Amino acid sequence: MRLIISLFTPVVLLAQPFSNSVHTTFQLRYQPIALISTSTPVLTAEVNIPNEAGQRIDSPSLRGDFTELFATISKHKNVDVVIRNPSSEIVGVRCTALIVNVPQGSYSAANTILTTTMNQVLINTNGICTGTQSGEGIPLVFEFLKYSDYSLLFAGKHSVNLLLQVL
Amino acid sequence: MKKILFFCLYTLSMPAQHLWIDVVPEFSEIGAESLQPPYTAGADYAEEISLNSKAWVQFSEIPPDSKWCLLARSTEATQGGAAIQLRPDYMSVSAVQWSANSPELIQLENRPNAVFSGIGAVGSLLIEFIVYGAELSKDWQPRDISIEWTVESGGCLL
Repeated sequence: MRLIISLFTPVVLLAQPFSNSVHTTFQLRYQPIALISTSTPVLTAEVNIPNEAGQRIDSPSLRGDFTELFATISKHKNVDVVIRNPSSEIVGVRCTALIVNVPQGSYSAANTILTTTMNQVLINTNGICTGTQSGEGIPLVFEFLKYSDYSLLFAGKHSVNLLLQVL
Repeated sequence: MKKILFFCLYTLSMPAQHLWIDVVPEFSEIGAESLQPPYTAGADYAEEISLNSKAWVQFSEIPPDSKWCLLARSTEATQGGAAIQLRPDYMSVSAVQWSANSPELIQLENRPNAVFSGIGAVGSLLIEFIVYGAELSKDWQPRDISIEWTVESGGCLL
């Protein structure tokens, strides 16, 4: 009888409640992200031709003088978005980033910026996500400077290449 | 005395349940490919991001008809940020070892949540990790995802 009990006891033990635990750990890392784009890559300006010879060209008017800056910049570090204009450029352009509410994060914008100097800060942010749809971006207003020396411009098209960079 | 010794030896040689869980790789990175749309300026993270790290579960040394329950509990020191969800890959185990009512996603929380209800030994149950609701302006610091896994007898009420 004792032998039978001894043989069956392990089976009874097997049916006993059990509980085993183990621990695991892995690390989740968010990579730094810095992406910017504009809604309109090309803006067009028209120059009003003076009525009489000898008159100066006044400020050209921009057709589509507005574009939006879309930005996804993670919070890993404080970031400047700068605008660059070649120093040899004869056309003076002013670019202003307007302050609006964006879906995530915030930014500061310098006042009106002359882009004739290299690397002028357009906005500064410590993490921002503007959204991708029209109306969600940061409005950028471009203006041509009055009284620039447009006499150096030839008839035809003249391109002003502006560069936006994340630094 | 002889019988007691026999009993002790037989009991000690009895197989004990063996739980083995490995998470690989040890690091998971989320980058611009996880934006919605990917690599797009202005976009935020996708609502659900599947991580490279996956858990492989082995549970052995158990009778074939014995029911058990796998539970998971977060032991992460720093709370907050995006939620972590677990998604068992039911195709990685035999069809008889899980119920069709088993949940697709299980939230990882501070309290133990049932992840999988099994029957008998399981050779390689795959569990995927999902980051849910990450936001670019809130989720940027590295996180150690620490989990306590527990297997209990009796199955789960899934």
